[in-house]
Amino acid sequence: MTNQVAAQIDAAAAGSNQMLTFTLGDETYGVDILRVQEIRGWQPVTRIPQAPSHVLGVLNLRGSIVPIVDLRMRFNLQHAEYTPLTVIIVLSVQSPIGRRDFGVVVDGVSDVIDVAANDVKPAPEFGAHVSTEFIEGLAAVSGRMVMLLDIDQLIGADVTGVALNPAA
Amino acid sequence: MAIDLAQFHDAFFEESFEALDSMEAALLQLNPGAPEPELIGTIFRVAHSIKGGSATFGFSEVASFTHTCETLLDELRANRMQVTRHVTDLLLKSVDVMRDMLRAQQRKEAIDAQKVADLQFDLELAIAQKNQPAAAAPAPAPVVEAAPAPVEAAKPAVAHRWRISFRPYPQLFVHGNDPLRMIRELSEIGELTVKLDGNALPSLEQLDPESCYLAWDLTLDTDAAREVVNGVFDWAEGDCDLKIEEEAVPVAAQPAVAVAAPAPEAKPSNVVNIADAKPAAAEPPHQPAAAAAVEVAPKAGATDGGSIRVSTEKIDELMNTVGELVITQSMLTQLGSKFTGHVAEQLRSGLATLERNVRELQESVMRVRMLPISFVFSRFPRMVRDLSGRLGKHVELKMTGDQTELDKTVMEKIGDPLVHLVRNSVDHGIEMPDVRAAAGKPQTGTVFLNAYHKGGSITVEVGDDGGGLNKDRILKKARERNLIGANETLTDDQIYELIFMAGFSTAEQTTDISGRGVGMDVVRRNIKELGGTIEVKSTLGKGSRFIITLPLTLAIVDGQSVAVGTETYIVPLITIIESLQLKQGMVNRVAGQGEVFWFRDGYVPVVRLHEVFGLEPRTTQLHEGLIMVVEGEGRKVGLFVDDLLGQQQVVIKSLETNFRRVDGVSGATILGDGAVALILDVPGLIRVATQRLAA
Repeated sequence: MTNQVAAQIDAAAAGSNQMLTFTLGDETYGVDILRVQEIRGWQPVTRIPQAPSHVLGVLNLRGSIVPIVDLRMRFNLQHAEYTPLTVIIVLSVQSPIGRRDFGVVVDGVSDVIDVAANDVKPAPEFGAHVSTEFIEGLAAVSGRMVMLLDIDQLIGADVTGVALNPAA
Repeated sequence: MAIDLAQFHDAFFEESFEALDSMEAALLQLNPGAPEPELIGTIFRVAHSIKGGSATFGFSEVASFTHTCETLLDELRANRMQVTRHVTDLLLKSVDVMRDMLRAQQRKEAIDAQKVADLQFDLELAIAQKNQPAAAAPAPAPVVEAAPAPVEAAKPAVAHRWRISFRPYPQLFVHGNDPLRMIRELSEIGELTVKLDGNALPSLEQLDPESCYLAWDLTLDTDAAREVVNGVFDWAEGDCDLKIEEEAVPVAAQPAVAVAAPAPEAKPSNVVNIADAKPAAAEPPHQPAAAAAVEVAPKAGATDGGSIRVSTEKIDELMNTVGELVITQSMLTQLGSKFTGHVAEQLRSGLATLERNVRELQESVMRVRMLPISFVFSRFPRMVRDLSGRLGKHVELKMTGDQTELDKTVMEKIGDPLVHLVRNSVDHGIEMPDVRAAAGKPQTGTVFLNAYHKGGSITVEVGDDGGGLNKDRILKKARERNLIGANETLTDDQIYELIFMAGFSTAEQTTDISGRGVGMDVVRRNIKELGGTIEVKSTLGKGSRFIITLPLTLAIVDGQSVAVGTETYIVPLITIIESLQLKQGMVNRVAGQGEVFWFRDGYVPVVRLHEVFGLEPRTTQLHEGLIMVVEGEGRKVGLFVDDLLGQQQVVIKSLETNFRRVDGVSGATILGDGAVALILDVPGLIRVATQRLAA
């Protein structure tokens, strides 16, 4: 534990971030590990009426009610079956009305990687299923391209009903 | 030794505000003419402690103002001044000013110095005029203890001459006592002759500046009773030898004296030595009554039931955790029922105990959040008094059931609507005294507030014996404002319902008290938001009654779980009128679209929950499922669901904590198996359904 914290501090000092990477189809995405609350297996959710289709429903996460977003549906990817191997990553976002927790359904969790600040390149305007406004940047890590997600932009408006960036 | 006093400020403010509330309450109970000494004592103690506290924290304006109040109160306490309505008014204003000043200090804002100075002047004037009781006191009631006033005015003699021998121990200063202060204080309560005994004073080189070598013999001519004199030396208890003896006052005529002083006439033999006051008081030497008086005297206010201050946040956390515990416990119970074998029995009995304990724990935590409604009611006596004074009406406020408990969250939100209703009753309800007299009613009108528990909810009634609602005037007004059509005929209830519409006010004249028409609709909305209802009962010429029904708590709801497809929903029991199964042919179609069925005395539309929520139901045939007749905002609908599951109390969790508001859903809860179920917001659901039908 202490080592991990120390490693994080070292990494931050060196201008790098730890990222949790996960896969959706053939693509690899990354989120800041400090935003990750927990990783849990798939379990059926309670549907919410009148919610956007990619908001699957809500789950009980140790007493609080947490909405679950299907990232495949959010990115208009081919829908995949939910199996016991399907993974929910619980993340926290900063919205204009405070911290919100929510879960994203992904195909699988891959790795925790260190990404140096100067390894992150701006995303080109095409090439991914994600509109680039949700992508903080691209990083090449051991030959793989990882898309670093700006989850505040991506999910904030969905779960709060308040748009972060009115222009978007 | 630098202590940051600022850390105590919050506690001081909070306590002071509370103390001011109790001072206000005591003032309102104070009966002009025949004041109860105990009440004056309470009021005095509040002023005294605020003065002390604000001086300690350096709020000198507050301290100075409170000091003036205290002086006035001291005069009242010593019966040198009479309690009149004028004095009570002044003191009530002082409460306001003190509150304002403290609030300003709390928010670090400027104090309205002019207002303070004005009132302080009035207070001083009142103190100065105390010797003209005839002018200052138009008190109608014959004053029983009036005797001392003329005695005082004529100044022939005083009640007592106390001979005090005050011999401090050398360590007196160590405990922060200042003999000079005590002597000064004594000189304030009467004519004091001081004789210093400096015999013990050593030579300068041997003198320890931190020891006290002096002793005093004091003679005090005063009206003050023994306990007052004793009180001066309270802090020096144990640090001195103190003897207080009464000597005959060198004037023969003192007939009224016994009335003035609450303490019995003491004889010279009655000596109390403070240094060991406790045993002395416990076994009075000669006069039991006298000793008792000494013992009972000062600190009545110190014995308040043990209580502590806890922030609501902590209680909410506790509530959450207990909620979790309840869920875990029911999960375990479900699991436990699957076990077999000889340990299963033990396991189940253990689980049963756990369940009982958890329930008790939950109830206790709930009770912690419950407060008596008097917290809200307490502001009304003052308000009614001020309002009726301003309007020139005679109004008496009767409050019953003020110990009825309800949840703090509900309490916070019910205050404003109630204020509005009470204000309306005084302003519009109660007539002017001459009108009342002409109608053969007593000149003094009555406004009553009543609270009681009824089922799982609390009912609060606000009523008056005033003019009642004038149906014709309401109708006329509503037509003028186009709230209803010119030829519409309405039932009484429908007419009364009009006063809750936005932009409606029948007051002939808009006053600053009420009548702007923004009131009743807001009142109703606030109550609706709390999940409550309000209804009106009124008789022209006899008065009106507003009956508010509220849930006891916002944290828990009694619900009926229903199944639609694979989902479970919770319907608040309070909204359910009846559940029934429709037979084929009972449903009629209106214009080929909406489905309605006959229920009791009218047609009720069917709302298919699966359609509103976009679900896959078990059946779409109305006779195969169940119809639940629910009511929201006065409208009834038949909610079509697959099945009823069971009734349970559920803890309400907000969807908005991590998500956003959803129409037709008021929150969520966690079921025994850990799954989430949504709680339906019936009025919202009816709105959504109606919009769908219209679209």
